[in-house]
Amino acid sequence: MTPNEKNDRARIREKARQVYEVAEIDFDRLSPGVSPLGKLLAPFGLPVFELPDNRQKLTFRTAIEFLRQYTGTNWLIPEGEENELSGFLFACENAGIYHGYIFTESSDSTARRRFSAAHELGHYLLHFLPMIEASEAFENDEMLIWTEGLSQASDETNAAAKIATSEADSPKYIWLNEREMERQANQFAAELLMPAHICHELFEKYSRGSRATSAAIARQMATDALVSFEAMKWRLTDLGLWAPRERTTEGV
Amino acid sequence: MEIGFIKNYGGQRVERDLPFSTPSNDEGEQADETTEQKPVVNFDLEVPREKWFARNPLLPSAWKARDWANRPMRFVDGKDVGQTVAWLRGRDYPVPVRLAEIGGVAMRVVDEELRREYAEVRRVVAMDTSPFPWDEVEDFAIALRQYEMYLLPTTQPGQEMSYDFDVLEKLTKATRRRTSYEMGLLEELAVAQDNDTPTVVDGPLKTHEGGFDTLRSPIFGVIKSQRRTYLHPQGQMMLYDLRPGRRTPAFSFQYDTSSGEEKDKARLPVVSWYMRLAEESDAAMPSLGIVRIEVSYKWFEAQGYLSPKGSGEVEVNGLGQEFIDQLTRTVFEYRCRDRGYRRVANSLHPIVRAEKSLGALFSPGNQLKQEFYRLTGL
Repeated sequence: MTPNEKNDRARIREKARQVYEVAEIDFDRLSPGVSPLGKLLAPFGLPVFELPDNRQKLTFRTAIEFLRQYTGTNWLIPEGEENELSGFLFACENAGIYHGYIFTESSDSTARRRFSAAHELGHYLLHFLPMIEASEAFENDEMLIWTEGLSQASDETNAAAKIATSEADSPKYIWLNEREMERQANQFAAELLMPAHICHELFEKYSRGSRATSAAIARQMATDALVSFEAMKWRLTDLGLWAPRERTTEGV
Repeated sequence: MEIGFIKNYGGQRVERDLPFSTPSNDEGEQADETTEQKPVVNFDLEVPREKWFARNPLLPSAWKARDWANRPMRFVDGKDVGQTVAWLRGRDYPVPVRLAEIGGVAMRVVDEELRREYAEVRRVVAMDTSPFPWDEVEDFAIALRQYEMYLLPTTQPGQEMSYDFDVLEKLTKATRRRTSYEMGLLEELAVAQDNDTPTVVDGPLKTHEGGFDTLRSPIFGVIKSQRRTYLHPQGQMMLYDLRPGRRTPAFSFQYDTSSGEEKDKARLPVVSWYMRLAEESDAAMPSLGIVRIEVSYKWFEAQGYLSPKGSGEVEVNGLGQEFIDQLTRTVFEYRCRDRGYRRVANSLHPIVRAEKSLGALFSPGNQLKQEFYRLTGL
């Protein structure tokens, strides 16, 4: 890991800790268990929606159509955005007033919906708000809109998102380093839902005096944290706790 | 403090379990073998299939299981006791709620007595959470945890959801599968406490795989109920005619891992054989008393129990046959002889003891159910 990557991870971890502080939850005294994401989101005034018609899949178009009705504003829909999504963030700043909405896909599992919501909060805090700050620094008084979709086709730890900023009446898409931002948003979601010190504590609990494989431990920890096995596996790998191949079950 | 979630969604008590739901199984439901990738079975591993015959373990008369170095001294079992205790009104379909106590236990033979070495018990609530807002489900899970209960979300059956009875049945079965799966995880933890002592696990090795090293650990699976036999017609007939203590020739299960997919890599190749445990008088049905034994193929190979037989194939050698005979005899000697036990014909005494030992750690009677009703205001 390069020093830059280390710094970036520390920054994201600190941001997650701040989210707990804002929600008045003592990060350092968290007990192993389910992170209270709903309570963590509450102070940011970001409502989380699911499309009311559960036969309708979440896409850029369906989400923005919903927002048109909900806000009474004729938001533009980016063209060609019919990919099915697990999560979606719409954030907007105009003359110092912020609007933000998170969507999750209602047919996804609870674990996945939690991850999607945490991931979108990550984009909001790590990318949208800093972008606003930067635009203010450059005395940019245009309305800024940020939309981001977490692709349904990707798993929770390998997201492929479309990100754009635009003005309301003349779309102007600014393509950013989406891969890097996705990684950061995933990292942030993991820090919120699977805090490092909790993971270390649980891993120690399940591995103490035991020869259980990383996979067996991750399955237990996923149940404890109400996250998917894949998300927990990724987190243990990220924390250097995952031993990739302790056993030899490949074909004989 | 009352947990409002169940009541908020029109929760109704279910005092008697639904008639179509799987009844509680004292020994835990074993994995459904029909949903897995079909193994490639090598029937010629020990004896060419056309020469199969029922084998009586060939051991010296002075041989004693208790002196055998590979004699299983640990026994691992799980238990899942629960029922549907409520149902909720989901937006488009009813949602059954299963409340259960699950556990995994390891027993060890010490001075020829069985002692509980390790046990982990959990109280769990399994239900389909997808019709409900994730933040409310999250609050529900957090509230349950304060009372040492774990929420286990299930997955939806792949069909259109409705208030039809068959949907309710499938959702109910999904809750049972979920608690059974979670019980398997606790069994894995029990296995993982000691990978060096020869151990018998109740059920197939693949459901305990996370608890041991498939190359180095002497862990043996005893499967007491099978949905299919895998055998060729001749082997099938031979199986039905097996006398107590006798076994079929060994065969192997291998899997196609060429896809490189994780799910296929995870298949565990095994050496396996059938034997009959039951005394003749118990053998009312030809399948009664038949168990299947599994040993990790990698472990078996690493012990030097396989030899090349030309054309790149291998066969069980004399040492391997001796091991299989010794394990068969030892398992037979461990058979349950308590005729008052419902599943005596297919059970091992230490596994029955393990199950009883674990059961002693569970809540008595309806205590858990009453606590759940009190907490949820039902």
